[in-house]
Amino acid sequence: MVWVILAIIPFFLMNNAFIITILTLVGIYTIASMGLNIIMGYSGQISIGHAAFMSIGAYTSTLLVMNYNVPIVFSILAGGVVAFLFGLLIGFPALRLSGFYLAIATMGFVVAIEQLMSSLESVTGGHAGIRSIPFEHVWNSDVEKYLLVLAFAFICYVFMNRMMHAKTGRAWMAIRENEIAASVVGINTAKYKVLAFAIGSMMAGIAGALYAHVIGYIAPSDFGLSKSLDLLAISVIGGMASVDGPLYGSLIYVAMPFLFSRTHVSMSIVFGIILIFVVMFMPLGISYYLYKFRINYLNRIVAFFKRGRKPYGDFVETSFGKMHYIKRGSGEIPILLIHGNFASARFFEPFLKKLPAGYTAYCPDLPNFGYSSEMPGDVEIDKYAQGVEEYVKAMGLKDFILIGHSLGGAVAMAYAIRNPDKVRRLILIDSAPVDGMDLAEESHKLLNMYRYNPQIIKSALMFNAPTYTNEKFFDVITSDALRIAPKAFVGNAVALSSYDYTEKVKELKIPVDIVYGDKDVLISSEEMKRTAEAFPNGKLVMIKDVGHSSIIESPDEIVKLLQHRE
Amino acid sequence: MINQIILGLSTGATYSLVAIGLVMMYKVSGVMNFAYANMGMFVTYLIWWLTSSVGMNLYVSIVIGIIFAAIMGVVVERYGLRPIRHLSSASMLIVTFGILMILEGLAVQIWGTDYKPFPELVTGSPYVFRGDFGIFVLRRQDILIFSILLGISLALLFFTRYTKFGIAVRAVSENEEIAGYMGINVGSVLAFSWGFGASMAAIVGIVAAPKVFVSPTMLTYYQIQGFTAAVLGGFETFNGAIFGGLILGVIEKLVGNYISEGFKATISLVIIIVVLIFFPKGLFGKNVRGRV
Repeated sequence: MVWVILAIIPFFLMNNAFIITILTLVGIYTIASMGLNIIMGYSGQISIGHAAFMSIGAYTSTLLVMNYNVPIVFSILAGGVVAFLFGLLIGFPALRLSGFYLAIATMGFVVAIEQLMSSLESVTGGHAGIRSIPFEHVWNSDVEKYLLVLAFAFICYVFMNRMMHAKTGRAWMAIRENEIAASVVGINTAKYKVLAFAIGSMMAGIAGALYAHVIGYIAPSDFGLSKSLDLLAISVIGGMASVDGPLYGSLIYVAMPFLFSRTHVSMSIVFGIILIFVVMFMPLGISYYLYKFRINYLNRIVAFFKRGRKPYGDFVETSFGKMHYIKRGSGEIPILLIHGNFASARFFEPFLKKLPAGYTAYCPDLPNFGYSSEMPGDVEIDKYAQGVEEYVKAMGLKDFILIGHSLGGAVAMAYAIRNPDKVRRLILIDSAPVDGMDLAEESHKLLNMYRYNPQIIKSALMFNAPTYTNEKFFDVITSDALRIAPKAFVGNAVALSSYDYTEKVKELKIPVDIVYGDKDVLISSEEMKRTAEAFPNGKLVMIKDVGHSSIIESPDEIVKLLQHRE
Repeated sequence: MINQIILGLSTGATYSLVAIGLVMMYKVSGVMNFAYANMGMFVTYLIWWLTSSVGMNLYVSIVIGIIFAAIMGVVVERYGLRPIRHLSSASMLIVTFGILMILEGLAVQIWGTDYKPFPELVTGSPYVFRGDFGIFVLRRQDILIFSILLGISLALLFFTRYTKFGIAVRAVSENEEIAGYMGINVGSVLAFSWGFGASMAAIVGIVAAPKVFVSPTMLTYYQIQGFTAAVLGGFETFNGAIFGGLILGVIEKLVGNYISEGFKATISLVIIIVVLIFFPKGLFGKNVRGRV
């Protein structure tokens, strides 16, 4: 989406070639600094020779285009490849040694490359450099240059983003945090460090090649130590360990000279001061603050639009308001399903599809959840049980099977304790344990954050259902979760930690099945064993290889369980 | 050949001076000072300005310059580095880059990019020795550099061996935390190391200025050579720094003479890489094991 906007921008600025060129430069520095972020931010090595790799890429590409008429895209890629090889060469020696040796080696490298390029006059044109590098264009050279740079930036961005969420990126971050510890857990530190350096250098090479073709003129002094330091400043200011930081850093780097154009202040003073300020007072860079801003404020807009608005079931009147529910099947045996935290009635949809004949399923939204009304007062598990009581009364259910998932499990226990004669049998699926579920108070802040961040809710839900991969389903559940009453985000967690039914369930004679998926990360198997033992008639059912949401991850097992005892 | 070696030793002595300052700062504070060259450059500019524009005596302005350098070193350490000592060493490194940029920018801003001449401290015809080994020329400037290096190394030797503060410096460089427990004022040792390092930078600037002229990038190359010298010496000992510098000077001179001047920086890069691969602790270093 953002990329599409970026791609359209130049067409509105057709008459303003200057601004397009500025944006093109921003793109180039973004690519180069992304490479530096891989080296410094993610793998924890220090490079101040980054401009040297730009220089290598620039000269390789230029010479290929001018002497051998290689198509521009291939020559740029070739520039990247050559820079990659040089990165391997420089990355190797400093491997086994602490970080600053690499800084020294790279500093030497950047000066050496500058000297070499100047002295090889026959090939590189010496100090004077190469002028009028051709750029084959069909229609409007500035816009085409911009789009070319944008395309490369996009590829690099996607590449880097994917890599950071894959094995390689994780390995880099492990090395950054503690190299010895990383090697102990089986990461080949040497390989990954060199790889980081080489890939970072490759991006610099690509950026350098783009620079050569965009500006049309290169000289050895364009890629000296000061350019390296500028790149370092871009990286640090934008945020070293971030994928989007380089963009902000480059924007500031390219825009700053215009801000100070009237004052004749040397830019290197300004950047030096900004650099020190950022390191001392905001070491995580701009991207971190933008991220926080997005999480805390900007995502509210997204949350507002993603919030569910269309009820999908029926309503029933209760004393505190309406309760929303869905009903499936038309068998003789009623089943009442109670959903968990951050879920809703349709969370059971995957299970309901497999519901065998002979059952009728009722799934209400608990009070405070989904389309049901808010319950006045504090959030308590017993109050939810009261809500269920009223629902049962209104629907005229009796002798039903009660299924509770997660928080719903606690509600189901509370309900069964209050109305033992109504429940034929109780099935607790990955339920909150019988003696309450503690959550550290520190995480309340995080829970409040859930209110405005659909993405976080969605990933939390997906995290708790690791083997169920239908993303659309989670989008739907998230839109319901956004309807949860504001007080309940933290309230539910408090309610879950403040009950203990261990004594009360001793009187409960109905059969109880406690289902537990062994990949559950919220609840431990000990807690579930304890819960099963607390019931006089309790039985623990372990399901292999599913997480906290057995009921949607392996509905077949639950159906089997349902029919087994009947 | 022998004169080439003498010339090389003379340049090498300058590199040794650079390396001594770098090693002092690194050993004590654990930070590689990348702003070193620019500190020296800035002070040299200051001295040049004091003599040429203000019209002060050269020697008086040199003393003022060295004192200014020491103060600058202390201030940078106290207010730029100590607040973030608990963060990573990489962030301290980045601060030195920031200082590098600021000093370079200031120099350009105040004095421009033109090359400024700087007077030789000693002048006069060189001493020439003749013998069965051939002709042997010793310039007076070389004698000056050698005696500065000798004086500083002897002073350092006595200082770190026999004075209380010198032993404290060694203790802090060995283990900052324990030294603190033993009642050593770690802060003042840190400040001293940076003050000392920055004054070394000033001395290097003064010694090198007649040859390279006063300009914003006058010492960048010296800094790289100083790093190379320190790497050769293993970054841990002053002896290593001194001999590393001298060896590097000779190598560089021979390469410049017999291969090409343009390969000088490349050669030191090759030296760094080769030394790091084959002698990770330098030619004079000792092995240290790390812990998690």
